[in-house]
Amino acid sequence: MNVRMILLDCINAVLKKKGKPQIQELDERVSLRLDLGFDSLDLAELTVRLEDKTGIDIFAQGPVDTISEILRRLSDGHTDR
Amino acid sequence: MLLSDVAHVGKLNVVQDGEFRHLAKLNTLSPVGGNLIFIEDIKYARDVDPTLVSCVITRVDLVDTLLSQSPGIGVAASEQPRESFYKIHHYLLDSGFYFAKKPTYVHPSAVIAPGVKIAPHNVRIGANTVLEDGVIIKENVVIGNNCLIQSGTIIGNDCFEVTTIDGVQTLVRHAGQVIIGNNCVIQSNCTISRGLFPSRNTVIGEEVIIADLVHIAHGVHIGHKTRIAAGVVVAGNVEVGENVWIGPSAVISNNIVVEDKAYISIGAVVVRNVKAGEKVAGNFAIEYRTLLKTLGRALLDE
Repeated sequence: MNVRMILLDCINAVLKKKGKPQIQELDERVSLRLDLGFDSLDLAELTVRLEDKTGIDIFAQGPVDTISEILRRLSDGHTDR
Repeated sequence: MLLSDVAHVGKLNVVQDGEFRHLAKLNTLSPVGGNLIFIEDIKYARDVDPTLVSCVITRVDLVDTLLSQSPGIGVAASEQPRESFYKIHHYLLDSGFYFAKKPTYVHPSAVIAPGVKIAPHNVRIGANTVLEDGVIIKENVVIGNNCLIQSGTIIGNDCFEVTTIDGVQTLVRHAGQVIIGNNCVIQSNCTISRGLFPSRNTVIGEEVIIADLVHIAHGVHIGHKTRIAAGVVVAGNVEVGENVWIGPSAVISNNIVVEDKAYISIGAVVVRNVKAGEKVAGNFAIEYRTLLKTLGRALLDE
């Protein structure tokens, strides 16, 4: 499964727990906080879900917010290994 | 002042007389030396620095240990060293040992609301400083220029230091000061306690902003430009650096050091020193990211 699909699945897992509608595709401009209503704990859960699936800590270099930023961290994480 | 001068007050057996100029606790000694302290536990006997400590009140069985370690210091034995020490402290407080009474000075440009109470002695209020209605300023308080103290705040009260004197649990009266720098704001219903001893006053730097319902305990130092949100408790002798953020309802335990530009998150309970620039959160507070990952893991397992 590629990283975009993994990210989509993980975001939807958090949204499901929050009782919010799922997203169908990744829009790289989307802000997790402003557009999807993620708070700090939601971001923490997403971080852990992504790390379990990819081995990459997306917060290692500081906070992220947009889908674009997360994809870049996931891509950089794969490149570093 | 000699140990023998106050032996009758503290019921001391003076084994070796000595002179002291300050009373202090081991962690707040006056750096100029001449400190009188008390020791009830042998583990603290090792920490006695004879260049700073000139006299010790201690248990009979610790006398020889202290004298062998620091032969030149004054040592007095007491059945209750802590009680003796604080009895002597109260006696000296009443006798004018710590400070002379000087008339209070309020700068002519200061704005003092009608309902403000200011102690008649040992207070200085700086130029253009505003004290809103209901503010109480007790003795031994210095407030700089251009400060704003909002309603209901009390500055210079005794803090939470408790001992037993003659069988009665007693609040220890304080002898130190509160010193507040220029351009500070202290919002409503705060308490800023004065130092227990002059060797460790409560000091607030310049441009410090403190929100409502904050308690600053005795001996706390707050560095310049630090911001303290509502409901915070800063316990005794805490050292907070410059440009620190302390979030709402955070608690900082006593004797902690928070270095410059640290960030204490909302509701954090800080029981370990915080390094410069570090961001901590949680109860007990740990590095912010580590806490979030731990919580994220817990949420995953729900």
